[in-house]
Amino acid sequence: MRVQTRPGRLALGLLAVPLLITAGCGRVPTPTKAGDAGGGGHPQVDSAGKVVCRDGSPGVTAKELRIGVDAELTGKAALSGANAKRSLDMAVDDINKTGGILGKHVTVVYNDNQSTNPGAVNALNKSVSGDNVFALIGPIRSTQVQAMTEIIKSQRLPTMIGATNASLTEQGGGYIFRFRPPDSLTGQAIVAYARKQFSPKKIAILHDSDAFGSGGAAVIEKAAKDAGISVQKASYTTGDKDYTAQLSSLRSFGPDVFTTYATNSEDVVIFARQLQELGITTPVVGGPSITSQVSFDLGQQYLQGWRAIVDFQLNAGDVNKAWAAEYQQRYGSKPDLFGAWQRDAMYFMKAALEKSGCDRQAFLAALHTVETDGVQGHLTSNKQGDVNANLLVVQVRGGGAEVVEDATKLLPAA
Amino acid sequence: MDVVVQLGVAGLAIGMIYALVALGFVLIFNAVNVVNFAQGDLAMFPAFVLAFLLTSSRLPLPVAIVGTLLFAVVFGLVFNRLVYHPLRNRSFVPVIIATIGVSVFLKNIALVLFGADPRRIDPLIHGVVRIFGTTVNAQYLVIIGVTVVLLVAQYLVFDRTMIGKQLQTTAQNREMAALLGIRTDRMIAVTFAYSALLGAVAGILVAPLFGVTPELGTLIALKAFAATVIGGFGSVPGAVLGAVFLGLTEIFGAAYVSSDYKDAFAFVILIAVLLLRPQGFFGEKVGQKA
Repeated sequence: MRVQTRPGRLALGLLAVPLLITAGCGRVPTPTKAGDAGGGGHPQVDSAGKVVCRDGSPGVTAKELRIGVDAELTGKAALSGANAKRSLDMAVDDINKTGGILGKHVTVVYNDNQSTNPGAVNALNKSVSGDNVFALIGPIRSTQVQAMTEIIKSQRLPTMIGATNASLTEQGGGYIFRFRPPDSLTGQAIVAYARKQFSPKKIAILHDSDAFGSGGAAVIEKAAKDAGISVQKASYTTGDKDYTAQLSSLRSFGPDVFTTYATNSEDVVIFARQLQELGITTPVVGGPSITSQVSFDLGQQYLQGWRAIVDFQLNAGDVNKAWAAEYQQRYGSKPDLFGAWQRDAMYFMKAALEKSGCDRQAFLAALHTVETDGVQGHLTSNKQGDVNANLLVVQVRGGGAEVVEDATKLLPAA
Repeated sequence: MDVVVQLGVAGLAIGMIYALVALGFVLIFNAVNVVNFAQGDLAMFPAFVLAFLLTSSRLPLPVAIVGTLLFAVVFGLVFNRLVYHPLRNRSFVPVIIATIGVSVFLKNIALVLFGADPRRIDPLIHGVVRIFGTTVNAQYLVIIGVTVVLLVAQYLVFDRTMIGKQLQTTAQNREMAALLGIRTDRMIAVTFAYSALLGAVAGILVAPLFGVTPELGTLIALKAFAATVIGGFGSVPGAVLGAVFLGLTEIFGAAYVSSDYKDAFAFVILIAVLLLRPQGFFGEKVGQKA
């Protein structure tokens, strides 16, 4: 008997492998046709010419409009997912208190991407096939968006992202809209500000080795070399715990300015502390992770005087101030960039829906025409789907950061 | 010279942390012949407990440290009872999978209980110390000092006390130990508790430097595992020396060869050792274990 059952077990085992793999990757939904998008691409209006939200499009029922969220609720980047959820819960509650969008109650359906690429694809598939959402708010990690892009395009799913790798909106085929400035702008602004302030001959770059950090470092390197500045780079793996080697190596290069492009604020705090311990006093100019709330909570004493090019600055502008006050009251903590762009994306979608009604094609067109004032500043999409081109130079002082100047004015006109 | 001292102290301290986690791997492997893939999380979770005791319960640091160590010992006993003990008569595969399950569970339960915000713990000694004319983080010296004291104490306990000899006998041959009247189940429980204690010490030592996040133990455990294989799986001195060798190699390699390959150094050495000396520097060849 045993001899007979072994081949059966083996066959079952072999069968189980592809089944498990398929289960792990999630079912890839069948591509939709343009017509399935719920209309012919025209704004939905009633006989009086007023924009309405008709049932029929994915995620739209008689009373409800469903928006999906593909977020890092667990895993390495769970902190950004937690902040995204807080921010979106608050935004949706506020929208529903004032009548929802075109009379529909907005429901946000969260799917955890576990901070991984396969997780991001699984969550996307669940949002499309299981939750049947109208539009999606996607991740802040570039590699995850890269993994999701083909399905987003095949599903013609309007997707809002915070990931900043420059090519993402270009590759998105008109379905991906970005609510943070691309790394190409931030990296150039870092070099432009460093040149203006310090006239450096040598620039050191310490960067995360992931897609975000490497992409940003490449932009900084190119901008610096184009300006005739010598560059030395050192990288680290996200979550690395000791930077003595990288900092010692960069110090021996003798830079006039240290630049950083880091994914996680926890990492920024560790290498900021080690810079101090190694007695390195070279000025630092870096990306937005320097001034996140996590950086201030974990090690503001190590970051004093550091400059950062940021797209979100707490209490910059009236919308931002009101939002931060409400957030503080509701959650007892200060908001940061890992919640700001999702809030802006939600209100930007609301503005577009109020022009287009619930027709996906018309909605995609409307996303290119609406303008809003968000917590990150004035928002309007370019042809490619980049909605946010606001950048500020800020400097860490005390337990926060102060605006130094408008970084967009340092950049050459587009 | 300044740079060499700074790199040397940092590499030695990081190597000591790998050593504490690697010892956890080795002791459990010797006792029950499985690899505990939750060993890194046995550093992470107590670090969260310490942060909680310090901030939410506002206990003084020494009391909070003792509380954390006690928690770790109890956790090790519970781990043994709920995870290893029910599977003790099965092959090693279900046990290993169960430890992976515990690892995932601990990361997520930390997220649920303590939230996603990283926790900060003040160092045991603040500031920097001057050595050979250069500055070194005092916490690195604390890590090196505490680990050396712990290793010496462990050597004395294992070599000079009855319980140490019983633990060693159980690790070498469980059946024979049982025939000699040693309560092997109890010895295995003690091994789990001690491994958890080593993990907790690692967590307490690194928390002030790295902050406390659910991913605190992941990279450390990966490197510690590589160190264990390099030193010779099952060998206590091998694990310690392998870990220190790894800590120094990756920091000097990153400084003088390329920082892009800092993490790769550990695994290049691991592959080279597996090819050239599969039993590791101090391991026994397969079939030679008593």
